[in-house]
Amino acid sequence: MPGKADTDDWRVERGEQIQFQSSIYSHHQPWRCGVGENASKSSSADQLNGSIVNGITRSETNDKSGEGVAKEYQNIKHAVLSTPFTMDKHLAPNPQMELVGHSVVLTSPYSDAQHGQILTTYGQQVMINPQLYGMYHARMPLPPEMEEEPVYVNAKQYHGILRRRQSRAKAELEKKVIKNRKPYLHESRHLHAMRRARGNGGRFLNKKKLENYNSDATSDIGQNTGANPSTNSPNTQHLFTNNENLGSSNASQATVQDMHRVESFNIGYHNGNGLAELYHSQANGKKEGNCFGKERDPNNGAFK
Amino acid sequence: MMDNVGGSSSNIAENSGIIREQDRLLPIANVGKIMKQILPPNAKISKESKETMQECVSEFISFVTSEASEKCRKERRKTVNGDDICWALGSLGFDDYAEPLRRYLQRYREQELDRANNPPKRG
Repeated sequence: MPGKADTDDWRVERGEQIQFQSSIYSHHQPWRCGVGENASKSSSADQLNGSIVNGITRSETNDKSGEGVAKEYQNIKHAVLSTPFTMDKHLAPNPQMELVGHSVVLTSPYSDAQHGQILTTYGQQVMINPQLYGMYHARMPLPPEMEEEPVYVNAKQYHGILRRRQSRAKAELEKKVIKNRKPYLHESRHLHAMRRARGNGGRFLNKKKLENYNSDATSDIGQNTGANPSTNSPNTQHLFTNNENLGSSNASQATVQDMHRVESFNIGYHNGNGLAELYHSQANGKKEGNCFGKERDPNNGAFK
Repeated sequence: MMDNVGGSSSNIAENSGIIREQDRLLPIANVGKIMKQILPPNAKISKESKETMQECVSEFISFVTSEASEKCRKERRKTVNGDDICWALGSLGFDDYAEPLRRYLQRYREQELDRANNPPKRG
């Protein structure tokens, strides 16, 4: 009996949601009626997400009635305003769009579990707060961009997602967003790392191992004399190893830029937690390494 | 010398028109450390996982911040403060995060008051 009742409630909620959506779109945008029809057609798929929808619907019972109504109007207005964005999106499709839908979908199950716990704790509030008509449409279909089917998202996040899509599209047009990641941020540090001595497995040699390596080696390795004596953490070694494997190189940069970026780099480390001091000391060590690198230039010239 | 000069000029031109990675994303090492806090000591995290989480958390920050910024724009304010972030989390449906963050913000402000009233001694 309880399970059957839940199923009936879910069906009623879905029906009202579809009706409400169709009424909204019929008033403002004729072509949005198609979206409503798609929603009705994909009812079988929605059944799989029924638990998620019910969970989010229950969570909204705790919201204030005024905020709910006002937010619904905002959503409607923004839906109308999003029409030129849709046209713009067709001109410049954004590959990150799917990431938003994906992340939103991933968020729902977790929030569903949390809201279930809230219901257990605040059972009385649920009884006290009357459910509004607006609470039934917890899911709103985003305007379809590249997907074949509409992506349903939390109604509260609807206009926020559209705004972020506009921001990313604008950034795409005005500036070129880096899609391929650089293997490293600073050319000078990369060059220094490439010059350091490496042992088995590609890890850097510390001071003791370097002495053993020099004593064992028959040939004289002059390039390794300026190696950084400080001990590096495994993470740092791993990062440098990746740099070597990638093997890509960029043109050299101006000294002023290097200094500026080093400062920003240190600022980033200061924001960290207790390990900031350790990394700061390592950064100083790296600077010293750069000095050694500069001193080696005459030697390199001599070799040439 | 000529190669270096050409390289630096091309880099300057390139950087002016590109949103740099370090401006768009959180540092990947910090993301990895935060992910490691919740895992057992011997667990390992692949670089792909860190990069994916880096993209997700950076987008989430922009998502919440744009909601707070929109509220400030409507109220004709220029500074986004902690209360705006808490409000934005609530309005986007992240109520479970908004409440702990309000308590955190309250304690943070109390701590700042203590610092202001009891400045550390010099020398």
